[in-house]
Amino acid sequence: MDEKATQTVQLLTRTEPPAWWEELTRDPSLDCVWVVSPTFNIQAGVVLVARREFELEFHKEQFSSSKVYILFDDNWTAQTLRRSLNALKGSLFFDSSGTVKDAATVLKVALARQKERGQNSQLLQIMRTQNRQIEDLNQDLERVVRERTVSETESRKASQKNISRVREIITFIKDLAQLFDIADMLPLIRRQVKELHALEAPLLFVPRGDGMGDMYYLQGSNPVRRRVRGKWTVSARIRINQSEDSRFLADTMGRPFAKVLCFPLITARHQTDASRAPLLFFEHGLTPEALEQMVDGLSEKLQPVSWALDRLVLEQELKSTSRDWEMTFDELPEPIAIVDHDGSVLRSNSAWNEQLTQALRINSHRIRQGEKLYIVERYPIRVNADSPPLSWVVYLRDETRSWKLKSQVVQVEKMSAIGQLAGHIAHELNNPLTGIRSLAQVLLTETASESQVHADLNEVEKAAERCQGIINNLLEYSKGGLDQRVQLTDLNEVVKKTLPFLKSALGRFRTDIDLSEEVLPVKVEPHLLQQVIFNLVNNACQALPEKGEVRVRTSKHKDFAILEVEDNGPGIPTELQSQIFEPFFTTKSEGEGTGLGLSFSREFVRQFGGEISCTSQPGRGATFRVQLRMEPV
Amino acid sequence: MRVMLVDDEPLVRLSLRRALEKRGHSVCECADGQVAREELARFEAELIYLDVLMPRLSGPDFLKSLTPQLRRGAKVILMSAFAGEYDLQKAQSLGADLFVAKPFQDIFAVVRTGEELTGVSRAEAEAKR
Repeated sequence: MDEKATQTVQLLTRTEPPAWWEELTRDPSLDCVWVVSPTFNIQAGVVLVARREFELEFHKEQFSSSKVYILFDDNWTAQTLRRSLNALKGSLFFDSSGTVKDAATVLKVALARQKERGQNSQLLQIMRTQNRQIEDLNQDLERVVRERTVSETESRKASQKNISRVREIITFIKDLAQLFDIADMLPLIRRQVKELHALEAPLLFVPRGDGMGDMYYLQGSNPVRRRVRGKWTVSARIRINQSEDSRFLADTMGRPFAKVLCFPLITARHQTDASRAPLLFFEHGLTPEALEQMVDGLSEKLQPVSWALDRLVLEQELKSTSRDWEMTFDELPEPIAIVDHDGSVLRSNSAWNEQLTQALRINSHRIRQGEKLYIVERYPIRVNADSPPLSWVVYLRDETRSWKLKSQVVQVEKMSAIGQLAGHIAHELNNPLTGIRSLAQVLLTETASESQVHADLNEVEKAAERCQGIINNLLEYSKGGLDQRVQLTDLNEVVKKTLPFLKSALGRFRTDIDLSEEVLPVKVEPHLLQQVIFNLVNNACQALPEKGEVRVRTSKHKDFAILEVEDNGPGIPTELQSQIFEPFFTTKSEGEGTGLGLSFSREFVRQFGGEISCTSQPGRGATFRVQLRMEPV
Repeated sequence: MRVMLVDDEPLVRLSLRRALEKRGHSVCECADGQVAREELARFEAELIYLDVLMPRLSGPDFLKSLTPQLRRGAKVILMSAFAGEYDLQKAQSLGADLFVAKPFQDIFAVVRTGEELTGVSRAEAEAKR
């Protein structure tokens, strides 16, 4: 308390202190210090400064505004005083020539002012401290607010990012769902991984079983598919930089692959057989650490790919299964269809569509369609054994061939019957003819050789002989002749022997027979060659309309004997020329031809080491040419 | 020479008979094998011209039924228009001696064949007559 009560007062002067200083020092409440050093240290709150001292200005800088200064002087003017008071603002003054009382009064005022100043400055100090604290608090608050704002912005950004990622995935799934072709997945996948610059374009391998698979890849921006060999034992894990993956790609793609990231696209369907799971490959230039960081995000994006791909693979399998069936049915040469109960065709194979031009009656059992004859077979389709049939499988069994064969058999039997009949008739005629001729011969011996009767009998005998010749030919032809073995014969003779049988066929047509004058020796079975000639001439006649010409020519060409049968009928359509020698090929209507004539003819001619050919210009007739090697006589 | 003609064709029989008779042979005509069998007992034929195809009893069947007693060494010439089916070998296996194909080219050649087969010359035949 005492200390506080004590006020320090300094006196600053290098001259003798004034009288009132002596008085002041006696005041116990004051701690009075006289400072003479020009470099004094002012510590007191109130400083008494001799104005002259102050005028010297040697220590002006030492004056601080926090202190109360009292200037004193005993010899002052208004001008000097004003100057000093201006220099030392806020200071007090008194005339030191005055009394102690004046000094004490001024000192009191100074002390009070000093006190007040001290209080003020203390207050200021407190306020300053408080201010600082508030500022600190404020800063803390601002920091908190700032931090909050930042974290909020960040979380908003994060959730927006999340939303956009989900949106992106949904769009991706939508895009995938609209795909029809596996190959089109690749551009989508590439777009999904675009931001991951280190990943190259994706390659997709879809196993197909049997060690084969489809490799889909991008050529530029175009997806390409290539069927490749390759079986893969898949583990469900993602594989990074496995050399067997690189090798597999290099083998299938024919170029080296460095680092490869492999995603097995596994769905529930592959759990029993993981080797059927498709594989997605990326070539990349990343370190395994960097890859592992992105693998999670990537697999999230690739999950929809697995599903979509599975759907497409299933669709493809279904399609190919049904296509396989379609192709199988289309390969069937015979018409087959599914027909509902009222007879309308639900599905049919190509044979049905191509061959069947007429509607099928519900109850018909056999139908004829152009050249073909079908037996109609029906098989019911039922949901279960007891239910009525929903529809029918209608199968048209092609009976054409067996029907033709049957009619061929009938034809052959007919021919053989005719042959037998002809033989029988010939035999029946032979007997009386023998009698007629023989009797004529006997009678000839009994008549005078110059008589008319003799001459007439001679005519009878000659006519009977001609008849015998014809009958012999007929017998030979219908029964295959006396000798069926190959023999050396003149082609011209065979033609001559055959022509009488063609008289009725050639009847109304102009006929030009042009046989070579020289002998054409060939080694043949005469009656078979006769059949060939008969067939060719008969065909020519049948090809002709009401009027026409048939030419039969024989000639010699190098070592070959040539027989040509030519007509000036409509000719043979170009597209049929290759088929005419096929068995059962015929353009004639039923009953007229068997389709065997030309086929047999070719067979016979080939047996004799020869060849038969046909040239025809549609509209300008046809020429059949038989070429046989001539034999030395 | 006693010659039997077995043929269902009258004109064949007639012409052969005329030719044979001109050569001085005696002739018996039969229309089929059945008639021939009956006639053979009465007419002791030395030579038989036998047709193959005949009603009732055919030439081969007739030959089969011919006992040595009935045939009495008679020579048989088989005649057929089915030249393809019959030849000398076939005829001989059936019991005939010769084969002549129908139709005849020359009736007198047929007669001569018969005469040569039986070894009876025309002169002998005429002498006999």
